[in-house]
Amino acid sequence: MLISVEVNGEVVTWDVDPRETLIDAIRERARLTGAHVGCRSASCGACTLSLDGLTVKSCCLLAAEADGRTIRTVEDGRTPPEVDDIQEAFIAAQGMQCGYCTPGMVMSVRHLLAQNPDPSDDEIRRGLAGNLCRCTGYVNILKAVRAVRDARLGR
Amino acid sequence: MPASFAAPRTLPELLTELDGEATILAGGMTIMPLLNRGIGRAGKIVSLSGIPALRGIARSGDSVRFGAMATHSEIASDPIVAEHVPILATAAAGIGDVQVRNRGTIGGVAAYGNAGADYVTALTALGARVVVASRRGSREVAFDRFVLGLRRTDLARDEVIVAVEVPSTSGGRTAFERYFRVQGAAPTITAAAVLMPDRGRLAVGGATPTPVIVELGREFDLAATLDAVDEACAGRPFGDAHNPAPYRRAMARNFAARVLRHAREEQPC
Repeated sequence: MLISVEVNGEVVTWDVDPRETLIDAIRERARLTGAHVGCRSASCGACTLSLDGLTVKSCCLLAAEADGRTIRTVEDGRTPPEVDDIQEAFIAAQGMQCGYCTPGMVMSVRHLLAQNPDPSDDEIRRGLAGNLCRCTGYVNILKAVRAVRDARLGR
Repeated sequence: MPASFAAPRTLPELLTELDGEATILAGGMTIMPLLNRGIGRAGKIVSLSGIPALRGIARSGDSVRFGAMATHSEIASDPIVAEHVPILATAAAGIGDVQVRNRGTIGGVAAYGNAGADYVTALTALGARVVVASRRGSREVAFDRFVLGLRRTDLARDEVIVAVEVPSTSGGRTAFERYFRVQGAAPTITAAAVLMPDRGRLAVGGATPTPVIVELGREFDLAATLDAVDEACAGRPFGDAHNPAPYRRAMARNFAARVLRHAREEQPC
């Protein structure tokens, strides 16, 4: 079935299978491989994308359901190694080890800081509750988010 | 059989798709993980995402009407909910995580009817009604009669939940508690107390296949109420490997005490 979606500002048309998930379409059709497939059960958050301005776990969303909607991915028009301040902070604080969860983390941090520019540690934890990291123990991830928060607020 | 996908735009269009074979897709937070694992069949998928009539939260007389596709995020942050059914906002805010709350819906949770699910217990205590539609017409069911057993509801294969209506608790006292082992996972026990000037109800979910209900008068004896919860849990035990039935039964009593004390504005234990 034909669907039309806006991905990172560009409108594309795909002929998708009715049972194809959005993460598969984004990775294989748009060749945007920043978002990862982790659990396929709406648990780990590695596949987090923004759909009409809200973060979603794209492994548990059919591509067909995104018809006519607006998607933003971790790339968001940037070409590697170009990164935003959040990605830079993750690198500086070493907020990753294997890095598999990082693209999903970055998406959640973008939304968290857009909604709440000055989150407390507890609010950061709640904002990232849908993104699992099995390497870091989250300490350096928290450091990275605090660093972006403080830099954006000029602290 | 090749799969098909339909995304009707209106309620009448939706009803024509519901032939008893269709798999209804709301937020997908329960069914998509199952389909991804190959559990359950979905030859004909009918999405509710494109139907504006199923969205929204609004006052409806003395009740609040939730469109079946109202998401947990919307319910957690809606000013009407905060004023008229605050325990539903509390329940919504505790479900899953940000991304899950952005997709998961009140209609989906009601249709799944899982033991101890946050809304299942809260809606039971609140005396909610479920509005259900099919080609055969529409009907309203009291929520405590809608959930029949563990993940078993009164919804027929050709029916869809259109809305959930919840009486306002404005002027009363209410409390909700969720007890969980791992953040993001389904709760072990949920408890809700609704104390209105003329009636009261306690619901405790998770220790039994469907919530334990204790009707409360204007005055009630705490110890006797907790004994009634305990007895009901003993009568139809429910448990799993992580949380066996005797443990759930003990926690049901504890969390019943917490919500009753909290609703009566006594010191929490």
